[in-house]
Amino acid sequence: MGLVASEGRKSTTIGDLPNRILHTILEFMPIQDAARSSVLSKKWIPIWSTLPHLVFDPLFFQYVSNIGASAATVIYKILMQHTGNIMGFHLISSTCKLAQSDVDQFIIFVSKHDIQKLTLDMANEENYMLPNRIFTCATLTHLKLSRCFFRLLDGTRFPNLISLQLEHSKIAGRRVLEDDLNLPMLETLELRFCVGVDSVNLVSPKLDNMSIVSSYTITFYCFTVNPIFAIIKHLCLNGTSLEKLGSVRVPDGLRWQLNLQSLKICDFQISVESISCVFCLLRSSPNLHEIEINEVVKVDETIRHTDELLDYLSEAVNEVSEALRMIRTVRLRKFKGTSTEMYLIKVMLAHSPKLERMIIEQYKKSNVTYQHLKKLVSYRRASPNAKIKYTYTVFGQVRSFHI
Amino acid sequence: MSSSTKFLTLKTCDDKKFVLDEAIAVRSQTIKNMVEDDCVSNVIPLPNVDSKTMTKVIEYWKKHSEEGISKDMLMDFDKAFVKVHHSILHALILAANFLNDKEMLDMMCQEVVDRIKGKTPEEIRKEFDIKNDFTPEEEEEIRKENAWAFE
Repeated sequence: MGLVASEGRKSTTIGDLPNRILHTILEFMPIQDAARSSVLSKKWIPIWSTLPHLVFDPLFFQYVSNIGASAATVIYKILMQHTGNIMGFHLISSTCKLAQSDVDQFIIFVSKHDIQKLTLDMANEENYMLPNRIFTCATLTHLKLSRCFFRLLDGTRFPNLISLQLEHSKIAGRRVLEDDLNLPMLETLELRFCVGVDSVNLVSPKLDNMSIVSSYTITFYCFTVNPIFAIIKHLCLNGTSLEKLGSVRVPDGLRWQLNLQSLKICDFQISVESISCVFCLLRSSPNLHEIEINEVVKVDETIRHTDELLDYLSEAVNEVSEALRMIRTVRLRKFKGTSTEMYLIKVMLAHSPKLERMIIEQYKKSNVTYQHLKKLVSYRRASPNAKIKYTYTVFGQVRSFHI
Repeated sequence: MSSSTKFLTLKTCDDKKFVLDEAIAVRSQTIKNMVEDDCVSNVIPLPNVDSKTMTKVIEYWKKHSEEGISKDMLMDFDKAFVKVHHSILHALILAANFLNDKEMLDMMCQEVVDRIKGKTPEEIRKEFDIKNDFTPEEEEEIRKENAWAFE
């Protein structure tokens, strides 16, 4: 009877959803839960064995260590059972280590199975050396590496790589200087705590976004010698890398005009040096109309230091005006109402003739008072169209108003 | 863009018609593409969605398009919205997939995940009416292959 009743009606068991959706469901859960699904019914076996994205995250490594198994052995088993394309392969743990030989085997295996997105972010004292095969993998579009090392061979290229994120990694050229790393399709490059990257000639004509966080060897010199710095549209720096830019010397101007459209600065350790580096970038970027500052951190709280900064800002009026001439949008996050922040806002309002929007987001734990806001309103605005949007959080809800 | 509200008529597979503000209907990428490509005549047919399911989808869309609604209120709404029998969940997933509303699809898939996580295979089968079509020997073999996940 049950059979008759269900005839002609669409099935309503979760297992009858299209494979693509079932894959999404399995990818939303830890891989050990996904593996268990294979025992539900016959339909579920191939769903598991063709799972396109394999994520071995800290929970997986924790689970494996709890049951006393070897992570590498389990990963081998999963790869051996796999019957489809492996589009994503991600190894992520800040406590577990994998042997170089195992990592080599995994990477070689997935690179033969149409890998598109690869992450290697494991705890280990020595850098993993990337197997050469990965450089020629034509399907690879996204690569994220931590604590890795790669040596460039002649004509090294990632033919279809769109995004490259390197952390605590090192690139070594064969010769002392200027080896080419060809990245013809690269759009996004992120460097965190990297060395040796500046001595490599990155050839990436499509690069749009670049983020440099605490990568000590990148100075203004790189901007002058490496053409990729002239084509990027969006640049993100943190306070440390910003200071390193000018560690040799802050030039009056760069050799090339930059193509920057937006500049984002995280942990802006504000000082005369760092702010003059920002102005140098701004003055060389005629198309730059958006600045985001993700938190102003003062290096030194002493009065002398603050005076020095304020003196510099009030004396360098020409530089300031030139730097801010094109700015249309300013976003200031984690606003705490410090005198440095207030002064910075004052300077930006007074010297940005094209400013349209300044968005100030109040830090949750700040002591901003009505007096601060009153002061903000009183600042002179060089642009008749400048609007300030002020946002803050009350009981977990974001509120905002315009001033 | 004209300032007056434009309405679209959606017709489900059981021939029920729904008149909906275009601004809300374009939460569906599928409908949005049709509108943008000017393929919209008077009525948009939705051959893969029945009226019962479409009523739920529209309830979700309207709530998520309400002006001034807080995040907390939306979270409470979503929580209650997904607490339905798995057959309705199934229909909503298929509808969200056909209508190409990623936000809704992800939320529904997440609900399935939450109902699976931490359960034994037997409990999962019960939850979703999945028929175990293995012989005991076959099931044992599959378990062995993935023994690491069943520790």
